[in-house]
Amino acid sequence: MGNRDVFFYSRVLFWGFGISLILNLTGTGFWISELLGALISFVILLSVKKVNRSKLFKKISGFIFAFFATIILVNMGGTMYLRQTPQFVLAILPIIVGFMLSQSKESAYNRVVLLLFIFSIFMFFFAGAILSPSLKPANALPLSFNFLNILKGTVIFVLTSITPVLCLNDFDDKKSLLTYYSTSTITVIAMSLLIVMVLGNQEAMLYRYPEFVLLKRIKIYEFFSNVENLFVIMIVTDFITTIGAGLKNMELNGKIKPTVVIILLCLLTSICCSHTNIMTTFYFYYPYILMPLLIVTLFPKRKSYKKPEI
Amino acid sequence: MKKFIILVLSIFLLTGCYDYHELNDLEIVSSMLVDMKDDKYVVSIEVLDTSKSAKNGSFFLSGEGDNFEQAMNNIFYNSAMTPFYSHMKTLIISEDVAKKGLEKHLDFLLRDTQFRKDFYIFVTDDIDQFLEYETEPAESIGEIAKMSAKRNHEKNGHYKTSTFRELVYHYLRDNYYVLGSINIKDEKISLDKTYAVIDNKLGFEIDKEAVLLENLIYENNNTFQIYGDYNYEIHGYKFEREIKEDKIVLSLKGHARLLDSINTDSLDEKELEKLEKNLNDKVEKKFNDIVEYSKRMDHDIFNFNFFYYMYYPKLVKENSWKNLEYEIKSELYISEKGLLLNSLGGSKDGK
Repeated sequence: MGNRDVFFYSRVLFWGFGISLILNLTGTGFWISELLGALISFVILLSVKKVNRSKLFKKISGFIFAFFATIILVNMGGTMYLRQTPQFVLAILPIIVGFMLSQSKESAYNRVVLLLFIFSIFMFFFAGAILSPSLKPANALPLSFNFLNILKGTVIFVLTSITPVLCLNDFDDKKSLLTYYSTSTITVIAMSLLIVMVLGNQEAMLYRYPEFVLLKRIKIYEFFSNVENLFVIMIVTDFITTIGAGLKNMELNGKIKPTVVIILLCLLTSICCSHTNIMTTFYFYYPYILMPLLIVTLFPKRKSYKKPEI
Repeated sequence: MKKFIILVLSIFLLTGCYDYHELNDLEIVSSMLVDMKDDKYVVSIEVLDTSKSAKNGSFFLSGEGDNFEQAMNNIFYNSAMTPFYSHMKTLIISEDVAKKGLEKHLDFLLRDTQFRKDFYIFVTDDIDQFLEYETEPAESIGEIAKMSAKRNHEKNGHYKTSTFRELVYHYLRDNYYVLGSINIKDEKISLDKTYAVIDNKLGFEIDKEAVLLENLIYENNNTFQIYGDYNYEIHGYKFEREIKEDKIVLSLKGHARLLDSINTDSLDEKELEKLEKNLNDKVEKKFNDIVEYSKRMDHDIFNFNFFYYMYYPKLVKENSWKNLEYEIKSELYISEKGLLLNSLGGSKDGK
C-alpha cells in the first residue's frame, strides 16, 4: 500500500503558514473554511484523472516544495529554541536526511514512511488526549460568519493541502491516496480546533507557530511538562518526508547534481530565514506561488497531434 | 562514502553545540520583582542557590534601566551566568509600576520563548521587604507565593490573583482582570488584598465576596466557606452561567457542610430546611448586591459584557451588561452536619 507519504506532504504547509494564515483571516469561522476546503479538495482529488508529470515540472515543483518545507522547519527551529545555531547549519541536517530518504529503495522508503506515519498518529492522539482537559468550548465563540473571509480561507486551505499532493504524487493508487489524504486533513482540522479551543482565538493569532505554542501547554501535574520538543517531532517528520519527496521528484542522479541542489537549498534557506521581511512575504503570499503550480499540474500538456503524412 | 560523510556531519551537527545550556552556567530564576525608583525601572531576579553551603535558598540580582528590557539586559550583563527564566514561578510588581500600566511588559514576556505562561503575578506596596527577606535552604519566595495563591484559590476563593496566561486572555479581549497583593507580615509571606485592573492599570480594591463571585465565574476554586450565624463549607458544587438575550442567569448548585457541631444535634428536618433556605437566600442576596454595586460603580469587573458578546455578537454594545437583568439562583443542600457524629452538648448530658 503506497502513497503513505501523502499524509505528510499534504499537511506540511499548514505548520507555520496555513493554519496561522487561516486563523488570522477567518477568526472563529476557521472551521467552516477548513471543512469546506476539505470537501472541495476531496472532490478535486476524486475527479482528477491525470496530472502533469513532465520531467521539467517535476523538478521545479519538487524543488519548490523541498524549499518550502526547509524554510518553515529552519525558521521554526531557529525562532523557537535554537536561536544561536546558524541557519545554514540548521538547514543541512533535514536536507541531508531528506536526500537519503529520496535515494532509498522503494521498499525501504515505504517501511520508513509507515513507521513515521504510525508514530505521528500516536503522538497526535496522545497530545490531544493530554490537552483535552484544557479545552474550553467558549474559546471558539462568538461564531463568525464573514462570507468573504471564509471564502478566502477555503481557497487557502484547498491550495495548501492539495497542491503538494498533485505535484508530488504519481496517482497510481487513488484509493490509498484518498485514505491517507483524508487522515491528514482530519488531523489538520483537529489541530486547528485544539489550537483555538485551548489557546483562544485572540492569543492563537499572535503566534506564527501556534502549533508549537499549543504543544507547550502539554502538562500532567508537574512531573510531565516541558515536553513540547518531544511532541514537535510529529511535525518535524512532515517536513523531512516532504523534503525527501521533493528531492525524489527531482530524480537527482549522478554525483554533481545532488551536491549542487543540496548546497543551493541550504544557501537559499539560509538567506530567506535570515531576513524577516522575506519570510513575512512568503507567509502572506505563498498561496499565490501555489496557484500557478496547481493550474499547471491540473492541465497537463496534451501530446501534439501529428497529421499523418500523405 | 556518502553514509560516512553523513555520519560525520551528524556527529558535529546533532550534538547541539551552538545552543546547549550547561546547567552550571545557568541561574535558575524563581521570581522577578519589578519596581520603579527615580523614574528608572529596577528589576530584581530571585535566583535559586543550590550549593551545599548555602544558608538561604535564594539570592537576588538586580539591574536598572530606562525601560523593562534594558533593566533585564543589565542583569544579564552584570552577572557571571545566564539567567534561565523557564522555571519562573512569580512576578511581583510594585503598585507604582502597576498604576502606570502593564501593557509595555506584556509584549516582552509573551514574545520571549523562555517565559512559561503559568507564573503568578502579584502586586505589592513595598518591594524592598522581599529583597531583605531571608529564605530557608531549598526555599524561594517565588515557590512560597505561588503555592499560597494556588491553595487559596482552590480551597478558599476569597482571594484571587492572575497567572500570566489569564492576564493575557483578558488583555486581548479588553476585559477587566484582578491582581492580588502580597506582603511580608511577621516574617511570613502573606496574601493580602485583591485589586481590579482597569485598562491595564491597577485600580480599586475589591471586596472578598466579590472576589468569591469572580472565582466562581471562572471556576477557580473547589471549595469555599460562608460565615455567619452558622458557618458552612460549600463543596461539590457547580456554578453555571446561562446567557439569554435579555438576562444572565447565574446558578450555584452544590453541597454545604455545616462546620459548627455544638448545636446541630438539636436540628431536625424542619430546622435544617429552614437553615438551607436561609443559606440560599443569603447567597442570592449577597451576589445580587455585588452585581448591583458593580453596575452603580460602572465597572464591569465580572466581564458580563464579554460573555454576552460571545453569544450575541450582533446585539452587544459597550454598556449592554448594564441593561441586562441578573438572576442569581442558589440551590445548596446541607448534606453534612459538621465533622462529629454527636454534639458536645449531647454527649455531656449522656443522651
